[in-house]
Amino acid sequence: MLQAIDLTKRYEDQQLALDALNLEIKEGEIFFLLGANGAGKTTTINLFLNFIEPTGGKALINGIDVTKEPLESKKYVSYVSENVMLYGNFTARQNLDFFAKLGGKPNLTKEDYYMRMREVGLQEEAFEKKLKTFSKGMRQKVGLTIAIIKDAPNILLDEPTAGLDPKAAAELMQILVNLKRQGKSILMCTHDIFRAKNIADRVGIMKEGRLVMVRTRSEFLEDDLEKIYMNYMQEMVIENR
Amino acid sequence: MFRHLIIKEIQEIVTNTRSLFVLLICVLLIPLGLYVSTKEYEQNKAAYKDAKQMYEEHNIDNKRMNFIAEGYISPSPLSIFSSGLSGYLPNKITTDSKGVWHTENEYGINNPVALLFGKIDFYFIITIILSLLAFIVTFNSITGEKESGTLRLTVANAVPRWKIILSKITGSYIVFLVSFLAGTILGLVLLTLTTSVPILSKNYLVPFLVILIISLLFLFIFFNMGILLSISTRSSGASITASLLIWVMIAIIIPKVSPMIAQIIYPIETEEVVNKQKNMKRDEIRIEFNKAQGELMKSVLSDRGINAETMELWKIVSDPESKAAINDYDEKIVEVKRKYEEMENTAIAIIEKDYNSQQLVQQNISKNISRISPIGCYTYLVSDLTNTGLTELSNIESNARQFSGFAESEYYSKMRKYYKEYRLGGSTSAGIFGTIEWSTVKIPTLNTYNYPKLATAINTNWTDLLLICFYAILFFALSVFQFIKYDVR
Repeated sequence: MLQAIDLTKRYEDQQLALDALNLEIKEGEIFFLLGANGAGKTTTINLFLNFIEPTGGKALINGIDVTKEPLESKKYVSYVSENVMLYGNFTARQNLDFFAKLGGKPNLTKEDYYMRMREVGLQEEAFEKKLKTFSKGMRQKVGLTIAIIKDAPNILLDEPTAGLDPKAAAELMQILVNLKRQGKSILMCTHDIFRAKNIADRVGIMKEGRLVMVRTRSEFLEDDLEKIYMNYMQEMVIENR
Repeated sequence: MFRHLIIKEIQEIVTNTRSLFVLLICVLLIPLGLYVSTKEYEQNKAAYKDAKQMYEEHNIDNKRMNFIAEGYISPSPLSIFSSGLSGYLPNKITTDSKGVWHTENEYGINNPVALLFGKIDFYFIITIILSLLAFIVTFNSITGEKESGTLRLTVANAVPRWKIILSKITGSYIVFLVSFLAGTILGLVLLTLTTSVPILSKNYLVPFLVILIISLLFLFIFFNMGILLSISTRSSGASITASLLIWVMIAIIIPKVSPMIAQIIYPIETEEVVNKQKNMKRDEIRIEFNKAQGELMKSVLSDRGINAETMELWKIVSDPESKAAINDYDEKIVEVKRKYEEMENTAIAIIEKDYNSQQLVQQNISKNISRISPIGCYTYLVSDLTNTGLTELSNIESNARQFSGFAESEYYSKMRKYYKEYRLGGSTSAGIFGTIEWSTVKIPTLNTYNYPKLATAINTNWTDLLLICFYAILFFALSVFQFIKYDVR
């Protein structure tokens, strides 16, 4: 379970990146965080991963305060970033092996890695190929495999579909649905409203560091999420003028 | 987990083309540098032996009082690791019957182009090439991972940051070390097979191991500096730019500028001016001596009742009183001459001492400024360990004094017994009289030139050794602490 309680981040230049975010993502739930660039989506993920320290409130992973016990909290979270490059001179399997060991899974065999890569739809011939020869979609799949192998109860994804072709993005979404079925709490930051409509259980829209709207699946399907999101975006454009 | 991080680091570096480049440079340049330096040493050694032999053969039947004894200095065997001041250091000591010694450099220049570009010896490879390669290997160790997103992924796991940075330092250093040691071992094998230098003997191996350990510590500084620069910059582009600028600063600007700054802070006269001062002093004393000669002559003539002002010069030959006065003069002038010679030597020694102490002050200022750069510390330490450094200048002086004393006791004092000055006509001449036991008078040769022992060299340069350790710890600690609070975003 992921929880943000009055989570606030103000940078040294006094810019308020996140303003008292309150959020709870339960087991087996996919939460899509939508918003324009600079709305605070990535800041939220950075705070959950303790990449930055909050200036107020707290972020909890499975009830563990990430600021107080960063190493303990990280045991319960996997992370997939935008544009996963990984180690280009390593093969897909070598990359998996390294991150699996970091994630506390030191005893996996080559076959285990192959199996997981098959699950995310990677072709057999790619398993022992160097990552630098991979397309972006393939690399994202390896990134997701890393998250899957860690088998943490929470998964954070930061714009994982950015730059992916529709087929690769659809495959990625299917994997997330499978993970959700396994009881994972998934927080995904994205601009991809269409994917949100497809698989999200709840959607939140962020604007200037604030979570301005949260809708459940039934609510946003009823209200036309696309229209609501565009309205918020337009408001922002007008305000900026 | 730490082990996995190190293994990953090693794998990552090994699969990078840069590590192949480092390996190639090490296995080609280190053996080449050692080989060329050793060959040059062998040439110098042969030239030394020839010169010594020629000197002995030439003078064995030509013993005389005005003989100038020559002591040939055997080149430092350890100069094969660092040529240092070899081209500048004297290789010959000369001394005369008055105990006045000089040092000379008679090295010929085989290829002036080599002088223009400098030598590639072990020291050069470490300070210039490997220090730069250390930066090239590490410049994107952090920024590269940040750009590829792997750093975020790594830190997103339950891994303490100190383990990540330690693994980076250890892993990259191990890879570098393997290349460096491979090149060094290959170099030693090459020397053993192709040269006459007993490189694996205790005399070579022990100092070399000390130099090797210091070199590893020195390169460790550059490793940590490279990693620190990678932590302190935002991109690999900025990191390589900063690394190159810092390297130019440390390797070229600071060492080369320090003597110039010392000259500005503490200006001293040039050697030419000091020589002029010495000549002026000599002239001054000689004029005084001439006056004293005149006074003495007047005095001895007056003692014999002869008025020097009115005396007729032609009478000197026939007049017994005048003859007696001249004999008195001859006796007394020896003492006067000795006194003025002593005065001259003392005055010259004061000028030289004063100049030497000024040089030493300037040298120390220069040394201390250049110690800002680890290359400065390494240079002073290694050049002294190989007996090609600044300390060797004063060591040569003490060897020269010893040789001068040796020549005096073994040659000049023995020759003096048979040496007589006599007057022939109006002038004074000298010669050897009596039966000489020639076998007891041997041509003085410099059979043992004392180079400082290893412990002495370390002891003399303990400041530099401590500074190298300090820099290594400082940059290591800075890298670790900076990374712990590093913004991985």
